[in-house]
Amino acid sequence: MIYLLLYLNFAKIGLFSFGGGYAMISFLQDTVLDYGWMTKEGFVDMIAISQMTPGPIATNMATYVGYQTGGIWGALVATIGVSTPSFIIVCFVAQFLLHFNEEPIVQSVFQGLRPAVTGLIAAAAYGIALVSIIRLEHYNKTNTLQDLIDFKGLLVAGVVMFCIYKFKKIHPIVYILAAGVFGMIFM
Amino acid sequence: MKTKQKNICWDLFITFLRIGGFTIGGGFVMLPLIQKEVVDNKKWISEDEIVDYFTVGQSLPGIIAINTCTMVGYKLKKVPGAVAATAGMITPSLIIITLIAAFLTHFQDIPLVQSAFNGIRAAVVATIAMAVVRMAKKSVVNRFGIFIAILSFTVVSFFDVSPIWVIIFSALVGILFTRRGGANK
Repeated sequence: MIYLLLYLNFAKIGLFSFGGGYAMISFLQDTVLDYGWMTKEGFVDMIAISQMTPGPIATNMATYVGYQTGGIWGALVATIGVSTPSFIIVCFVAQFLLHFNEEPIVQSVFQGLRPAVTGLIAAAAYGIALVSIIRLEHYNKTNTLQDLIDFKGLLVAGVVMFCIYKFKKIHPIVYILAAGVFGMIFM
Repeated sequence: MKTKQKNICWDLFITFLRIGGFTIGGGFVMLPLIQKEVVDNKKWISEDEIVDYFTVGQSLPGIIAINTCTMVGYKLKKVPGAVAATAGMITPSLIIITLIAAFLTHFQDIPLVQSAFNGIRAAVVATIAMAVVRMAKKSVVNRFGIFIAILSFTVVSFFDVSPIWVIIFSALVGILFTRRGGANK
């Protein structure tokens, strides 16, 4: 039955999605192409759509593939499937931490993890900057310095950072939407 | 917390519905959104605690965004809270993606959409960067932390090391090099 297949496959994909949605892409591609759920072109389209819509990329991809394969129920089942491992694991760990938070070993682990995770998130931001502000591929083709940096993107990023620093009360979504409008007009 | 206990699950659902709906351009955008909604507005979780939730969310298998919202929901109201938060998080995706998959399969090719996303991506870099700065005030507090943070950033950004190794390594290093009780060099 397609729904069971979707659920189980996406549960597996969700479990091995470590370090962000992009990790799961190759895993997802293998599954989707093996089962014949999508064509390669359709898959590429789906990645683009998943990045451009609200929600985490991983769940977006699950919803999309689920819908293509099994309609609305397929979308629901795949999305719940991909979330299930996270949900179960986190509930257990959260409960564990509730009791063992004060343990020296746990504290020590966190002493290492906290700065490391901060670095990882910074790396994620850098990754996005690489495709939006720093255009390395483009520069390699043309070798003109102006092509290395997307100045409009840099301007947007700079203005947003300044505003966040100055106007602490404003919700981040305001900047994101404003940047979208700016992009529509000027980019 | 002044919210009535019965309404917390609904409140969680609605809050994460907003967060999920605004998480655009990548799962990491939810970090500044959670800082704003959960720490600043609702005051459900403190600045110190949220850093640990982000940390746990990143360090466990599974989808980071789902990990984090499950964590927050669980902390507030155990399993029902976790369900409410997660359900809120995935609902916008479910609705919007299904609509796009059904009616607008060339959504990503629409030029206006692409232009909008050129702007959005740049703003996303900025909001995540500032969220990192805010988080770092609590998570990177000594020379050891600075070293680990810079090392993590560097190996992942420039040497294609998988985040999994960074997490395992930093957890071990934390155990080996920090003194029991939390103080370290």
